[in-house]
Amino acid sequence: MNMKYMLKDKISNGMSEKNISQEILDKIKDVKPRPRWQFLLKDYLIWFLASLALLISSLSFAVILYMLVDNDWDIYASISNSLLEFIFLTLPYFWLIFLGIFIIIAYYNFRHTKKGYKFSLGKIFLLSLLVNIFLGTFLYTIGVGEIIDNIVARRMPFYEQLINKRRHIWADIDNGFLGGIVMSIDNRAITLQDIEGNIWLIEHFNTTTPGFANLQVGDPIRIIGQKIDSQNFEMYTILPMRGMHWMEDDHLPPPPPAMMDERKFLQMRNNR
Amino acid sequence: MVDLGLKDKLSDEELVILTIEDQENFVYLINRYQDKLIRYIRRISGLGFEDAEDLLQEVFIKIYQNINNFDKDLKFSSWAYRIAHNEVIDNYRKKQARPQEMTYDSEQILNNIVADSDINKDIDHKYLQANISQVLNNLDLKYREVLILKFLEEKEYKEISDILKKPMGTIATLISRAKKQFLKELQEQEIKL
Repeated sequence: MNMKYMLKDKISNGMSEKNISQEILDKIKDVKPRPRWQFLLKDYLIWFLASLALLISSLSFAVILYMLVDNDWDIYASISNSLLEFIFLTLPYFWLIFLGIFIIIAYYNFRHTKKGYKFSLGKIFLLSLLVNIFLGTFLYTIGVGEIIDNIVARRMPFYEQLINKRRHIWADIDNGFLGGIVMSIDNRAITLQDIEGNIWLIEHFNTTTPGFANLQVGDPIRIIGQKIDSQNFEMYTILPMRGMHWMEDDHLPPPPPAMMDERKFLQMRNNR
Repeated sequence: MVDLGLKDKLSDEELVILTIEDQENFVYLINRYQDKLIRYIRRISGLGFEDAEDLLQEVFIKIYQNINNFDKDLKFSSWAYRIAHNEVIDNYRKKQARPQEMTYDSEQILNNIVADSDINKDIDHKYLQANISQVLNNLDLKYREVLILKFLEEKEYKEISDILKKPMGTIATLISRAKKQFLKELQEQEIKL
């Protein structure tokens, strides 16, 4: 090998192999190698954190899936001007950001495992995404997405502004969107407790509306119509509520009477 | 007890096991790697010999302290070079000093790059010999380092990947970019290619 690079100054410094070896041996005389368990513990900790981040991102994926599937796709045209606008309006941004943050945390930890450097950024992200899709879909299927949405909805004060804008949509009664729980049904009207807890009387004249025949007390529903006054709402369309199951627990209706007349309804509302 | 003459014939990995059992055996690894590592340290850092020697001692102390973390799936040399690389980077950060001018074996590095590229081999060697250090020192550290590992230390892609802890694809990209920057730098220095 043509090696012109020489350690001439090594010779000029009079350093011999023995000297440097001895110097190093002298320096490490009182040094103990770090025990193997410390390295193993660090490796396991990094793997644990990577796995935990992947699990949390999969949970986020399950909530995103739940919120997307149970979105108002059936009536998006009534809510917004176009499908694109509707998607932008109702995308679960909070959970998407949460998913992104935990994918990055999972990547960071995986990259710091012993062999993590062998994999490119793209491969690690793709792998994380595949785990998220499979594990997240499984978690969604067993209802974990819904459970998390319910828990967060009850505990986060800014839920509707920050996480689930659909709550805001179905509380927009002035613009004809009324969501709530059926409190009573009779052959002339239904009473409904809305998301904010207000009671509404909704007269109906057309019980052939799809889904109406099966309507039961305690059902969460969506109504598109027109506000008549602060207590009455005119119904154009009635649909079962999609998602937002936390409403059912928050507004558990009283045991349903067989029939409720208007006097009882007024008394109930006055008592609130 | 292993015979002293026999120890020189043992593999690096066997010497690691013996070092864990008895500190004295570390001397065989030191003797085996001190020249290679000090050359590598000087090549990437541009440090003078004495500073490089101090750094080399730190490298061997780190190797010894972390010997229980040696990954048997790696070559010992890759692991040792990795620790040397990290020490150089740490030292560079601590001192915030630009690498000093370094003398390189211009013929070796150029022949290897030329063999690896489609450029004219009729090169002005005298001029190059005088200016090669400046050319290499003008490159970014990340490019200079991969060129040194590939064309001076003559490491394989996998070894470079293990030393720098980057994926093989990234190493290939870095080497390709480094060669381009090296040749561009040569042209800017008006070295006839």
